[in-house]
Amino acid sequence: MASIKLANISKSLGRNDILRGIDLDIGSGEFIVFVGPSGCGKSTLLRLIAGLDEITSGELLIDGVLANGMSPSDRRVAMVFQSYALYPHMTVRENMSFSLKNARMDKREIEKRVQEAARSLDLAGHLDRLPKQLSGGQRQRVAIGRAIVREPGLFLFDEPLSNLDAALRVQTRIEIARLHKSLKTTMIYVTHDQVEAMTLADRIVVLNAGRIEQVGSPLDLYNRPANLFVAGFIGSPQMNFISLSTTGPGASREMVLGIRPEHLSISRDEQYLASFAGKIEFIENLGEQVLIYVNIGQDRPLVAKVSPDEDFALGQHVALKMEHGRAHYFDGESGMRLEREAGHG
Amino acid sequence: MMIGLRKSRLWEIALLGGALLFALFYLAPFLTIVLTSFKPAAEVIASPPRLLPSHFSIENYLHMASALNIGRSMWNSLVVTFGSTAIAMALGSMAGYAVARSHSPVVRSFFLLALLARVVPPVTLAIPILGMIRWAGLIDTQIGLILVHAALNLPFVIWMSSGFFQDIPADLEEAAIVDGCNRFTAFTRIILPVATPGLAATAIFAAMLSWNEYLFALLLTNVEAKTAPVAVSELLNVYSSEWGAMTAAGTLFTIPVLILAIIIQRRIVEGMAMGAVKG
Ligand SMILES: Nc1ncnc2c1ncn2[C@@H]1O[C@H](COP(=O)(O)OP(=O)(O)OP(=O)(O)O)[C@@H](O)[C@H]1O
Ligand SMILES: [Mg+2]
Repeated sequence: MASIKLANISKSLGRNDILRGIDLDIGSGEFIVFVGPSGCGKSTLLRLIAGLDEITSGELLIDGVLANGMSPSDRRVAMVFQSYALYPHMTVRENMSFSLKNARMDKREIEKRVQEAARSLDLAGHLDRLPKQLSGGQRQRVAIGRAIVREPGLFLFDEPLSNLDAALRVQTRIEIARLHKSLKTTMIYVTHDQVEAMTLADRIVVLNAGRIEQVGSPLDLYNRPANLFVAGFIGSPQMNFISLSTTGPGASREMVLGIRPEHLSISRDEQYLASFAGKIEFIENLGEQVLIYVNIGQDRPLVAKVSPDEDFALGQHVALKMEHGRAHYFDGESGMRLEREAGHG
Repeated sequence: MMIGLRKSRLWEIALLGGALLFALFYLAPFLTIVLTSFKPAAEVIASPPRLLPSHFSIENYLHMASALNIGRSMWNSLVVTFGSTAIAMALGSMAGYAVARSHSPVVRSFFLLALLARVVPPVTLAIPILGMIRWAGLIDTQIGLILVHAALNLPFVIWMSSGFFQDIPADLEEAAIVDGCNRFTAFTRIILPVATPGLAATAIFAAMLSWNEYLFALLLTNVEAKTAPVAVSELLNVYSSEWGAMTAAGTLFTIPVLILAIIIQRRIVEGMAMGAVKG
């Protein structure tokens, strides 16, 4: 149950700065999720923590001890790779006991732990099979089992579910959540998937171009995104942005108003106390909800998420209303969040 | 429907016949040697030549055994082949792994240099190598020839094995390192076993090169460490050409390679079809 502290960590490869000035405190037992666009450095940061890559500058502390130069096994981390990285020439049992044998653990203890992990992961009948004789989901569980048996202080997951089909992904996601509840081990989890991030994380770390944009609980990020990047990245479909310029007592000011599609309501009644009005340009039916794209004269249409019971047609003129207190305001230049008082102009 | 079936059956037979003809074409010289070796001595250079022996005879084998110490030279060949292949594989696979995993320009250029060494015609290397082996006092020793064959084979082994290592995802050794291995034990316990089919194929090619090598064997050995190719060639000299004995020696000389090929044939095919190492 390790606690992790990253202090001003940077990573460069040649002349490329891949990570810059990363500061992060991870409490013992926390479930942390790294999200961010492809290439932003999520895997790199995970590998620095695992000890697979060298930290260029800054300090990594594990349980308060400087770990920059420690070998991966001394860090007591276990890692689940996106490709699973099972040893193809070893049976499931050998795969799971490999690290314990390396640690010269007692044979009976090894067998006990392997049996336990196999039982909890529903692999008990497959211990003598080779990885190639398993399904994708079973391989994934072996990879998790290989991490569990070590009873590590820290679990690292790099997009562990991205090779599974949708149904299996949901099931394994729930299994991982249950695992965290029962083991209470610190976990760091990299994903592209918003739902995984929102459902699993105690706190989400949003990375962009080698920097941390915001750290916070899923609800924090959803309700109070610190800047335009986070506002646009968290939530699906994306938040609507509308440029405004206000003229206050001093100079005029460029601002961006953000409103999530689920916080816009639509009415055919143009007299309705509307925030915006326009023509329906496109309708996307997702089954349990419908996305309505309304052209309000900006370059991008506003998207509203409505229930399928409401009946709208292409070309219709409609009014859009923002749910009270749900608008976000950002500085037009820096993209930073402005507190709400500033927005009432 | 019927016609389609018959047509495809015909096509299959034609294909099979073609393949057999092709195989026969490649095998013809070898079959000739084997058949000739069992002819009575007088028939070996009969004109016009006949394909089959008039009667089965081991005359040629007896003659060869008296003309040269075939047991000794076969033994030398075996020792040299085995020794040089073992050294080339041990060093070459480690170097091949380093080449496969390194991004360093220094390692890359070393690799190209090593390949260059293989491109140089062996004859140009003969004089300096002869000098070195003489200086080391290893003329006419198995060790001397082992070292030279290992050195000749090294670039090839590095090149071929690095290709196989490249096909193994780096995740595997990283997982091993997280599981408590160091770089070296990750290599020996995870990467080597996974690469075995490819390395077996590499070893076969290296062994065949050493087994058949003639030029350096001729230059560096004369009595004690003489290998089979050199011994066999001595049957041809200015005074006589012992064709019959040569066919017998040639047949014997092929047997070990044949056995090796049959044993490891499946592995070679696996090695060629590697790439499918995804766990
Ligand atoms: N060996 C390398 N040499 C140079 N640049 C590299 C190397 N490995 C990664 N990078 C760069 O580092 C950056 C971060 O890569 P990283 O794999 O951490 O991204 P990521 O956030 O995990 O992306 P993804 O979501 O696609 O997995 C990328 O821009 C990539 O191009
Ligand atoms: Mg990644």
